[in-house]
Amino acid sequence: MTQQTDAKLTSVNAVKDANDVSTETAAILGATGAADRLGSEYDEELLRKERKANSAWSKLRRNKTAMVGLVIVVIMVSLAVFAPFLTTYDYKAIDPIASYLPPRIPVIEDLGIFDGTEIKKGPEGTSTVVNPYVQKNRTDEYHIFGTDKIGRDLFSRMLYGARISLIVAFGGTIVAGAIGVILGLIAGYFGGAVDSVIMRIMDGMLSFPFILLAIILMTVLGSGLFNVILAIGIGNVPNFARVVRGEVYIVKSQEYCNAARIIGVSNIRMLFTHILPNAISPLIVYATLGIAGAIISEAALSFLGLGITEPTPSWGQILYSGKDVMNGHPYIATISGLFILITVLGFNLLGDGIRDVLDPKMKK
Amino acid sequence: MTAETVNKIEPETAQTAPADVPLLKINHLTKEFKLKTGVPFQKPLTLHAVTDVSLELRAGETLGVIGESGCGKSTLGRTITMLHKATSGSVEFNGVNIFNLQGQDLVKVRRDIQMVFQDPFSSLDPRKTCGQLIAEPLIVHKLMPDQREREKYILSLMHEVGLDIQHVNRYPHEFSGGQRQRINVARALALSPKIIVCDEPVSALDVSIQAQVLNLFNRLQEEHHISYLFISHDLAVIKHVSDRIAIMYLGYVVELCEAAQIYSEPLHPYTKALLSAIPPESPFEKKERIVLEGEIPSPVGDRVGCPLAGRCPYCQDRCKQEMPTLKDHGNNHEVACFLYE
Amino acid sequence: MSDLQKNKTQQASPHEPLLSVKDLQTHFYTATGIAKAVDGVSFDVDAGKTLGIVGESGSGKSVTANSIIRLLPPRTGKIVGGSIRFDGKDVLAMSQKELVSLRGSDIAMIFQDPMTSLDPVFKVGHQMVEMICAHQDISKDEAKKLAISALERVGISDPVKRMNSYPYELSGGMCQRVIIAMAVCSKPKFIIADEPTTALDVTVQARVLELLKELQRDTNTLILLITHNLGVVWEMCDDVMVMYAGKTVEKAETRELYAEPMHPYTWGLLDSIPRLSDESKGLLRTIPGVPPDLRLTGTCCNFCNRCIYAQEICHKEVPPLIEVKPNHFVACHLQNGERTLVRESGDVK
Repeated sequence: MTQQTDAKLTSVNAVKDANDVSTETAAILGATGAADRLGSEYDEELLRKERKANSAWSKLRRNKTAMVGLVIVVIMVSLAVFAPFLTTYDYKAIDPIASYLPPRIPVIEDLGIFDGTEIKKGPEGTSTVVNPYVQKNRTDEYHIFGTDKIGRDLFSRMLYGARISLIVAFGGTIVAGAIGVILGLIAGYFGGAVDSVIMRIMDGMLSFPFILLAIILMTVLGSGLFNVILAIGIGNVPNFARVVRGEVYIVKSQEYCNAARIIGVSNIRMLFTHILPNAISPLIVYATLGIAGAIISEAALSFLGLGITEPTPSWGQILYSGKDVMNGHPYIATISGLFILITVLGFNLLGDGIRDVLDPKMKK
Repeated sequence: MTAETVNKIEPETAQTAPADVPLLKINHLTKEFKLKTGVPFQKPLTLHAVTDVSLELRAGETLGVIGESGCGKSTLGRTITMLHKATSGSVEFNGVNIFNLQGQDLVKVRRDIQMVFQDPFSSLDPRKTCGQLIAEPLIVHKLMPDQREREKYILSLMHEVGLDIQHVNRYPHEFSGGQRQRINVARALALSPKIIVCDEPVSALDVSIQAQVLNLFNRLQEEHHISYLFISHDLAVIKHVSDRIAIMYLGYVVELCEAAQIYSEPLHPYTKALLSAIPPESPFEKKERIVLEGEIPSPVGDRVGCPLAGRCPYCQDRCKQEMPTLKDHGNNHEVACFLYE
Repeated sequence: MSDLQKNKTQQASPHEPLLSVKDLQTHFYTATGIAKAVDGVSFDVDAGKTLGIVGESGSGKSVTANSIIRLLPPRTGKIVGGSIRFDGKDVLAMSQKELVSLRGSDIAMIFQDPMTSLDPVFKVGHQMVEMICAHQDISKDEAKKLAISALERVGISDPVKRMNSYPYELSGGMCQRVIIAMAVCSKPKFIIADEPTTALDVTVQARVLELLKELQRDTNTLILLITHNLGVVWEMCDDVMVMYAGKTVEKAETRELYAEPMHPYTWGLLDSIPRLSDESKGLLRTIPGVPPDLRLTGTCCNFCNRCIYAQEICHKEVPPLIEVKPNHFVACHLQNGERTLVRESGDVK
């Protein structure tokens, strides 16, 4: 590669004619190529260091909260991806006898916690410690998150549910992003009447509470994984469109867009090679935060019974099933709630970190 | 309203056509911006950025445009390059009104009129490398479809403007201001334009770098026979690069002369005041200041008479009633002032 | 507090200049190395005098000024060596509280962009009155009167009306004059003007400079004028210091520097400006190349790679700042005799 450039350099040098001003150019070329590093404005080695230090990734790595968020997200995603290898029970297998077994984790049970016992309240305020595993004759089984009403292993369901929840979250954000970016680009770039029409529709959509909009969409579309993605996606379009439009407005007034126009760049080329790449940073931030929102939305929809239907597990649905038995078997709602909480927190931390890195304006 | 009446005065002063046909002819160019007042149902205010400007740019010549901020010099450049749509008037390039062109003809004219911007930091797309930036005009106009040929041409352009060829893959923020301005010049040069509109190209640069870039402009003009419309607020720079100079004040061209004349015999009271305000060239020089009273009036709203009338020490009653037109005062020295009529 | 009182009672000795900076070193700690923004700068200025600091961007002229009032970015910027004495007090030993009172009353600052010095959400008059009341023991009405007379003095028409304007309603030149009016009110001993006219039009620039001179005459103020515009220096300054890459390369009286510049960088600076009186369209003499990276300076003459007269020694040793003539300091390895020789031959480059 360098050899190639060198070859080009010599060929160009041969072309150059010796008029007096090119001594000035030669001086510059000489200075920047000189072994003595002082004269060059950007020393190669320093530049490499600087590029490394200023790259988004190394900045992100220095950001502690973002790294915590990233670790959480990576753990959650790998749990979902490697679910078949991490679980021993089939998430669909029903075992009516083994219903509502509390968490029991090997090794740790010797410490007296998560040993499969639970406190049963007696009729007159008395309480007794019972072990359903013994009662139900399942002493050799270990359900580390316990089981649900019909005896399905909760750990398996949480991990497979993570797949669904994350797919819905990513899918919904991609759908929202794709439609929102295109609408935002068009509205922001062309402005005027086009802008007014698109943005008034977006405002109209925003004036509905999001969950109401999603409920309407779900009732129209019917339940199912794809429809949940679509509902969450469409519900989030206005937010993306607004973010993109605002950014396009800023970018298109930059001098380099004027420069491109003078060169004769077409609208399409302008939109996709100049404006979109320069407007993408806030979009990435918004998308990361949007994923967190979509996880909650999916949970909310499933909690309302409009999202993913049985037997496919999703976090919101598990949370919903745990709601009614909070008194007797609190672990179901607690565990699924914690998973949602931690994952959303992870994406939020990551999103904030990316914002700090990509968008210095947002820093305090 | 006033703009229209002023327009009607002007056509009488049709200038005598020069022997050689000018490359670019600006005829009674006017650019107004409508400012929304924010009050519903109220008529928007008019900002008179450029009013009835007629100039000619000959092949291989540099026409300097000078004036203070808000005088409309940048708007003039941007209207000629069609970044702004002119309110009225025309710009003829080789005898053809470029505002009427469409489709392929327009694309062709765009190739011939290029621009170098003031701010070397914001005028380059931060996400493109130096090579990609210089290649863009070639790709857009589908010149040099062969990639290897194009790459070679890009490197030769970089060399020509004094950039290190090895830096072809660097991003704009990795260059200094002067180097970035060179990228801008290379980009404009890529299309072999006939005219380059230079909008304050050296204002953001340090003096030693400024001299390098000015020399570059001079050399390129000699080698490629390019015409420059050179816009600046620095009189010394303008005088150094220009063959002729137009002095603008509040959207009007008030004086138009050969570069040497502006220093030796300034005519318009505004030009005189401008010259006297320039800091001395040596600590031994003592300057007599001609002070213009008050502030530059706002270009917004209707106006009558000479724009300088309120501040001019030689103001007569007539100045407050009508706008003087540019008239030749001999030696191709044109001035718009009733003092010389 | 006792320190403050001690400092206040301590009078400057008759021979001590109002401002004395010795071997100032300010470094910036970046992710990729230490940038020596100011690397051993010394100067003394008396009351009523103007010192101009000229140099290109990155030469350390603004950092020098900001070091004097200790306004450096926290964490990254640090004064690592030298001393600064103002009015008999050691500025580097001052507490934050003392610094604040110093900046408000004895030292006034004028920056390039006047808009950054005025708060956009308050009216001009409000800001002026607040500033006056903070540093002088007078009532609001008196402060208002004082502000109006100050605005009148800086040539702002209809000052009563302007008192009720917001900064965005004023032009750049007017804002700069408002800031000078604020300085007039506090009667500072020392004004730091960092590129005060760079953002202004020439006609406005002329008026602002005139004002500064007038203010100096009336109150015997010391002005530290930082600029890249040599014309402004010729007009305003008694002494000039030329800075390059964090170091002083030449320091002399203004007329002396113009008549007999000694450093090759100063020659380049003087020659690269187009002059109105010159024939147009000629080639300008330039300084080839670009300034060095401040993280790499300090082992040799910082200018050696752009200097056409550079010798072997220039690439090996840092030239000391030597007083070659009374009050004319130069940091260059060229000997006196050689200097006139190469300067003359250099003209026909």
